[in-house]
Amino acid sequence: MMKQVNIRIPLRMLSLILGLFLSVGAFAQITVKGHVKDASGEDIIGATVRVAGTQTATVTDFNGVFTLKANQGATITVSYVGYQTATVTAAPTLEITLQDDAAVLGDVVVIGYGVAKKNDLTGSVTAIKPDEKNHGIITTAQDMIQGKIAGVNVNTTSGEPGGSAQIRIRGGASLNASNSPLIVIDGMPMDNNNTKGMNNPLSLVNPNDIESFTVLKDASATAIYGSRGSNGVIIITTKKGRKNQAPKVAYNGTFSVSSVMKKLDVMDANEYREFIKEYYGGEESDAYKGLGDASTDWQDEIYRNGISHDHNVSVTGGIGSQTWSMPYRVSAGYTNQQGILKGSDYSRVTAGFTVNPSLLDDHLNLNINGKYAYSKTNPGGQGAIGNATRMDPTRPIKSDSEEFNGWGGYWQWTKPTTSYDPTFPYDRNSDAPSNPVEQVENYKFNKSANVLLGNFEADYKIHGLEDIRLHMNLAGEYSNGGEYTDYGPYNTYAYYYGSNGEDTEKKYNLVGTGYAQYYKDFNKDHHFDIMAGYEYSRTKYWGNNWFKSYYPSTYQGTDDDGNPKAGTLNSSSEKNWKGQMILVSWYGRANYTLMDRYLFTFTARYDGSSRFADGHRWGFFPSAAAAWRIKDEAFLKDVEAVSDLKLRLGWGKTGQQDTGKEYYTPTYQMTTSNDHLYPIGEGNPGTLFRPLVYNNDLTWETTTTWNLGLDFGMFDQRLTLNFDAYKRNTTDLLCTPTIAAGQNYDNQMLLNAGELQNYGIELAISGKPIVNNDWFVELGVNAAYNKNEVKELYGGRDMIEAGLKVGMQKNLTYHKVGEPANSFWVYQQVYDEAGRPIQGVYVDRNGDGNIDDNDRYFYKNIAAPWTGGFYLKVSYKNWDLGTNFRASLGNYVYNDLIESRMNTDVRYNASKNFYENTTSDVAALKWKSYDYPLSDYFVQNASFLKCDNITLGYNFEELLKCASYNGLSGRIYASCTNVFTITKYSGLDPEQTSGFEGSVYPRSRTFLVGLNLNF
Amino acid sequence: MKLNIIKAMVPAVMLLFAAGVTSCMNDLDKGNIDPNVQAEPDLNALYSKCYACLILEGMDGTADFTVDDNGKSTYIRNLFNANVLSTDEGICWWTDGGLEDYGKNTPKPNSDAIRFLYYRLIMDISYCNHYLELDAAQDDQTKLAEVRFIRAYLYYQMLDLFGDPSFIPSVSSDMPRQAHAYSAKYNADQSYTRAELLALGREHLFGWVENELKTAEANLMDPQPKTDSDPNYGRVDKAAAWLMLSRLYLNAGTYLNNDGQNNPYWAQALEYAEKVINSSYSLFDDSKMSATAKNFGYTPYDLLFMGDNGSNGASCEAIFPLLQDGKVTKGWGGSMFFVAAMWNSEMSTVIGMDAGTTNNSWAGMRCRPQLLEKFTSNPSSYIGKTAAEIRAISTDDRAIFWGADHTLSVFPNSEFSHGVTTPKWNNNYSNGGTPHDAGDVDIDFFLLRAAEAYLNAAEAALHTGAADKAKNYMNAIRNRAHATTRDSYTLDDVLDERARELYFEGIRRPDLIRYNRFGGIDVTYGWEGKGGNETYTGAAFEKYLNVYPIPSTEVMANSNLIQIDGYTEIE
Repeated sequence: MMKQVNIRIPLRMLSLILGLFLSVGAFAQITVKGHVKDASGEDIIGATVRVAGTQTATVTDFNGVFTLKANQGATITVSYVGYQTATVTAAPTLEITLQDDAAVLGDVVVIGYGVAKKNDLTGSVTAIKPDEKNHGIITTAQDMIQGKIAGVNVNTTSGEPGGSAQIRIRGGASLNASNSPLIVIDGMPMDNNNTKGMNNPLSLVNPNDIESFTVLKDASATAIYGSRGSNGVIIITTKKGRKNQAPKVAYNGTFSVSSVMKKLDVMDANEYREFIKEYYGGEESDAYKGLGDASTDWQDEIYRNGISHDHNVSVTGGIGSQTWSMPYRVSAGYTNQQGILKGSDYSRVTAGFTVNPSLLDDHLNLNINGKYAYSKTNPGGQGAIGNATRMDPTRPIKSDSEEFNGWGGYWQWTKPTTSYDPTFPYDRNSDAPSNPVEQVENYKFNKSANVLLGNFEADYKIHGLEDIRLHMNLAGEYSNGGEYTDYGPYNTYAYYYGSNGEDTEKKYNLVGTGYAQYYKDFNKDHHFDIMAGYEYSRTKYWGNNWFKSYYPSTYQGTDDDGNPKAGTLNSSSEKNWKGQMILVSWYGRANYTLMDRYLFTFTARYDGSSRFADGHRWGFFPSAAAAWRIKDEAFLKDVEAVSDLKLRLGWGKTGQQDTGKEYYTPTYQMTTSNDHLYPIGEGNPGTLFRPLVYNNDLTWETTTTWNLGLDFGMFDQRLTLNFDAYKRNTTDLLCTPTIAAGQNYDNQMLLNAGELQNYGIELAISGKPIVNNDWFVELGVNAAYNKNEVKELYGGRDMIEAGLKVGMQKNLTYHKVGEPANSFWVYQQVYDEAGRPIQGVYVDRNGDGNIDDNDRYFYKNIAAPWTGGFYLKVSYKNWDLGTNFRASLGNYVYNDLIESRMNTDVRYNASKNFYENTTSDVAALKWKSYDYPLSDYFVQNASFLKCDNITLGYNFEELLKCASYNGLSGRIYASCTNVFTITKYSGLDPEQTSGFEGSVYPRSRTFLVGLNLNF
Repeated sequence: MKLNIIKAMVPAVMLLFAAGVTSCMNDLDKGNIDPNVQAEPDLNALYSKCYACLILEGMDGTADFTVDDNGKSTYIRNLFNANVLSTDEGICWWTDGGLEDYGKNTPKPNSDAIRFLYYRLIMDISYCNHYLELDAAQDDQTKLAEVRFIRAYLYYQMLDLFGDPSFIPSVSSDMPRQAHAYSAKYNADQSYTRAELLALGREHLFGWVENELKTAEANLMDPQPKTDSDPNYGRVDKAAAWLMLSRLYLNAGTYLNNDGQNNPYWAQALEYAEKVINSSYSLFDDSKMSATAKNFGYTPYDLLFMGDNGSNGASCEAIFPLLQDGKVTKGWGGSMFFVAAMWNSEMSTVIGMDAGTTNNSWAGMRCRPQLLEKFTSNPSSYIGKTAAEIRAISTDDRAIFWGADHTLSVFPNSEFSHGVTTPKWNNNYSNGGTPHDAGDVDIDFFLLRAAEAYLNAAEAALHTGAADKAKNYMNAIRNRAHATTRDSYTLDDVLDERARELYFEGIRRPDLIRYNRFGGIDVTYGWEGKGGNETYTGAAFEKYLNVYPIPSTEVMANSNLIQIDGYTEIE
């Protein structure tokens, strides 16, 4: 049950006050002076220090120091909420490190609309604190939970600096609607849609400010979030100050170097010459004679070692008196990350503050915080990544020939033209690869965004009716971002005319929520805790984009009236847009605890969404859960070895409404540019209206979840095991299948269609086999299995397209009844005796003598059924060593790096006058067409084991100590991120969230040194 | 804060809260606020859309439906692919998107190109249906008739290309049914072979299109050719309905009897073609051409396909011009396609100019030798020659071909230089003026031309015994092209003349079908690569291939549909 428990800060204060009281009664033996700190070296203020078996006790002061008198050899215990209690023998000076322990049973975790003691939870909830020591490079919050939690998969989508990540909890519940979890930052449910100018909604939080993550996985935990709970919820809580704490200044900084891990093994200039000679008919062939005489490794030319650094400063403290207090924390951070692609980088400035005043004898607790982030991204000319693998290696990077003046001397595939003016006698051959170095050097596009996030939270215990608490939270987010281009005429991006433009967007997101909570213990065996509330949330966004290009001053043409056009506007467009989403909700939760060991939780939420038409708008999402604390039963209570045993069972319904836009009303799209008009008839400017597809029957997607969980701990939680098994059924799936042509105004439509089932198990084991004064060893493993099956589809259909298209728009993946979602529907490739795939020859699976769609079969799917992680932490005295591994088993990737080069016949493209590079392996297959992309040859097993990081650190303290100063403490460490990958996959990187590997920004290997300092 | 203030505030906050909640509920109804998405129809803009969808890919350069390359969604490009690449006229070497299947006469239900064609037609039909049912649209009966004509034209193409497609005569969210289900003869309880269903569907569509064209005709404007400075340029008038009726009747044998020569409607085909001929539309000939254009060395036929064809006089022949302009009406798959797909950067026009657009080297389409045979008994004589050189040795203005660095044979079908190509379309101005844009073209696409009426009439006249009429109409066409005239013509002559006059304009396939020279195991007429056979005369293929299959995505999506006879159904 979730008894009323305040957040940690008041508890800490309580212990401080309590301790001061108790210390009065101490009497003299020897004087013990000690210093208490946590694992990261930070002083612990207000820890209770007690001489066992006596009334003697004290609390640590603002520097973590205590003094008390005790008998020689007496046992002294030091305890503090959230840490394991330490036991030491009295001595004149003591240095005590409390081990932080997230698994302490009494620990408080943040849950939806409240907090709960871990021991009282009935749902599947995992709370973790960021591992301060064992980590690689961390740029955004998602880097901290990657691989750490069973059933939570975090994959960056590419190696782009500041890039986004895909987060999936238990595989996601939907087909076409969002599968991303709801992210709640300090009580503010975030809009999942990207802000323009920012790659990743999570990048607004500085990871150094994060106190904890809580992941709500099953419906009994997430149903309180109703229509947004289907994909799980991640609650991020930021750090706060401590009551009556002297100001503490801390600095964290890192310096790192990134480099490319693997390049595509395309032919070098000599290999390419040999290949052209051999394939296109010898040294006398046009193909061979047309080759260049340079030798360029284009991939080497576009990549570099990226230098990055990151600095964070925070000041934490608290002011106050006996009746009030105001802890505070102020922080600022700066990140500058150079990408490994030349010209790409990311920088971010963050600033934040939190104050948590407690007023009126702790009856009124406020939490006020504000966060600001500015980020700027130069994505870099990423088109160069693919072109560097295609560009003919026999060409130089630059040339003095006037043919290339139009691109600043960069060598290009050109063709003569008279369509511009004599200054620009050449145009680029648009079918040929662009010079990748030119693409990198001449790229002039950047994006930036400002984000402000703040909330005001008030919690009031009614005077005289202390069983009732009123809680409200007003939270708001405002962002303002844009993308900017500015090109002159001399580049491939805006050749000849040049262009500039802006694409900006502003967004606000306001959430107001309030609830009342009542808790009552009727007698020893019956505890009630009931709350109910209301929430209003509104997101509004509006934006503008414009584009202009001009005739260069050398342009010689005239308009129809004979006026010269040089320097005038060539083309332009401008567009404004606006949109909003509103969500209105009622919610409530009731907890009941019987005899302190049978726990029951009921929650409900009633949500109304502006995304759906009246009559389909409201959804009701209930949940019920029970837990049995077996450990507290008589037969187990006294078994020392078992420290925890709890069985949980939950059921609930959650919804999904993230359709991206207002969808239900019949509307018309109108043209916004001034050059795609069709003026016909008197007085008709030629604006076009197109009736848009609409579905006014659209409604909630609903997921019903059953969850069975077991928590087990032994030896004072030195060994813990968490097991969950679940089954999830999603009905009324939001899905965009191809609909019958003519049925609406598009060939695809968003509708509620069919049913999807997921079931799986999750297991997390962690242990601390060695814990003593010098040594600390902890290791843990988590694993999850998820099986996904489409049970029913729209209109009784057997299968629908799942969206991944390859070759020229050929549908590759399908959702098929009885198969996992996103399954590959392919032809079975036939191989020759040497094991090479034969072009266009497939197995006639139905034996009818024809190869057609009826010979395609379902072969694997994108998602990995098995995922997991492993970590190891070892510390010896001041040294610590840690590593994290992540595994994915049974995921398949379409290797487009190969497929996009299959047509060896056009490496020399005589019709279009250019050459393209390829790999020797692909060229050896001698395919002559691109028309066979649906072969299972390209669908490859991309299971992997990745070593995400290895980190070695050294902790120090009392550096520069002098009489008036306790000295610096801190840590210096070195880390390698992306250490190695073990896989059978033949492409560059098996970790592809889309199940497709094209020419994406590669992930880098990073070496990092870091320094933490506490002043 | 004093305690009692707080106590007083609690009920006040509660009250405010309750009031707020009520107003918040109403917020849910606020709906769309995007200025680019309108709730109310704009009649002019929807009317424009019904025309624009025949040549533009969609809105602001994006496609009207899901497709990998927006330009591939356009109507006339798809019409070209289906009706030219499958015939003796042309072939494409691009290996993407199912164009190879067209070229080999092996159309497949899962071919992308067929899918794009089918979706484009149905989308356009939907836009027309939507306009026709708007209350506000009923006020202007002329515009209503125009949209009705466009829809009938689109269903005519459905009939011609697919035979028995989904039939959607009005806006409805019901699962569409095939044309055969609307036939008066169709009995849902009876079982039919797929061949019988195809016949029922074709018969139904034939009757429906005939009736719609006649109904629309009554309210269309009187025939009047225009130039692009006239605001009504681009609007269809009665002549368009007459020409489509003539085409429908000319092919009635194909649609009703699956035998183009077994046709009870020759007389009507002649009647309606003559209505066009006798209207104010006329062939664009020397007498209508500017001295400037003549001085550049152009012939009248050249001017039909140039950047200024809306203003150089050629539009006297344009019964249904589709608009393109480099500044106002841009598009990737419209007239741009007809330049870029047939050009590379080495080529030049009959007077030695470049293509007049920088987007000119997609270099895909070439002519099969049988098209050249229509112009010369020795097609090899074109090899190695530029367009200007071929013009110099040719006795027919319409022989606009490029043979320099190209071979006669289109095989191996792996590059642009295999097979002669045509710079028929180019973006130059016949008066030497500057095109509006260096990339996008100003060439209006004449979807229906008066010349077709002369050829329809000649053919129908021969079938109805009016040989003299046929001779006159044929000579009119040939005179304009400065080709020699004759005293009599056979039906075969008319078919060859159609190739000479209308090649690469997207109309060849039904002509060959009508003459029973397309599908059919016993058909003797052949062309290089016919049926996928890479010999000079190819190989016959089965007659069921005279109509295309319904795309497999559509068969999967619509449980009411039965695949066209002869094609494999997905199990």
